[in-house]
Amino acid sequence: MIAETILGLLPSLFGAVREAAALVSPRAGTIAKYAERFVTFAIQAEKDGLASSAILQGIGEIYVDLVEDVKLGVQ
Amino acid sequence: MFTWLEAHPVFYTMFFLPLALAIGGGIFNAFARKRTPEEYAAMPQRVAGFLRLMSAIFPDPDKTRDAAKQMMTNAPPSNPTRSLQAGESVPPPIPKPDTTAPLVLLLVAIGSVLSLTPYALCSCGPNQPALIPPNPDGANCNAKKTKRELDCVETHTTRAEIDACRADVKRSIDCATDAGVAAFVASKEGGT
Repeated sequence: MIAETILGLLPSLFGAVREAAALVSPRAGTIAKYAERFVTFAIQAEKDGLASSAILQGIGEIYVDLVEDVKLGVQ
Repeated sequence: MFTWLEAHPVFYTMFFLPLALAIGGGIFNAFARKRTPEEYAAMPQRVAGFLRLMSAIFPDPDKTRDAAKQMMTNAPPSNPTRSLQAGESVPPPIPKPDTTAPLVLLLVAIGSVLSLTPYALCSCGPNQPALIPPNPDGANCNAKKTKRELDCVETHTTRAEIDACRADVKRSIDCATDAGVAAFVASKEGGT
């Protein structure tokens, strides 16, 4: 029960961290943005009971987005 | 907490464990970073000895960071091997220190951590079910799809072009559903 509560709070916590980090530096904002995406996806995958191949696909898309941002720079 | 993790093995295996190991690796790298003799002298002796031991056992954090950066950015290493200039002689090889003892300690440490990690060795037992059922077709499908999307990022130069290319890949390959994976396996690309 405690674990469920903590998981429920994590996305909004990471959202606040991302906004604060973006004020510090673009790089910190990018790191926080992907940390938030990863955590949000993990929690949603757990809630939806995604299959392993669907989880792999989601992680792969987050990774390719990150590579794309690294190549083109954050806007 | 462990009961909850036991009830959510996919979450544990695919998210919690990799994240915990990554954080642990980061902490180890911070511990094992290079320090000057002055920094060691300013510490209590036992702490300085412990940190020297850590930096001797675990890999060089600078090299780890360089390798990770190179992997992410596809850039050349920061300390490339240069070719010899005319008239320059080959320097004598530097003798390598005996690394047997640190390697044994490293293997013992890894074994200790793994044995303390719940479920990490679970699937090795003959009567234990696999945490996640093997899905080679799904894994192959995702590997090829991710590779094609990374090719899009590599070959195109603007965000619009990259996004259009990635959208094409997403339309042609769907690895999230059993039907999509089956269609991929049946295709020429999946069969190779």
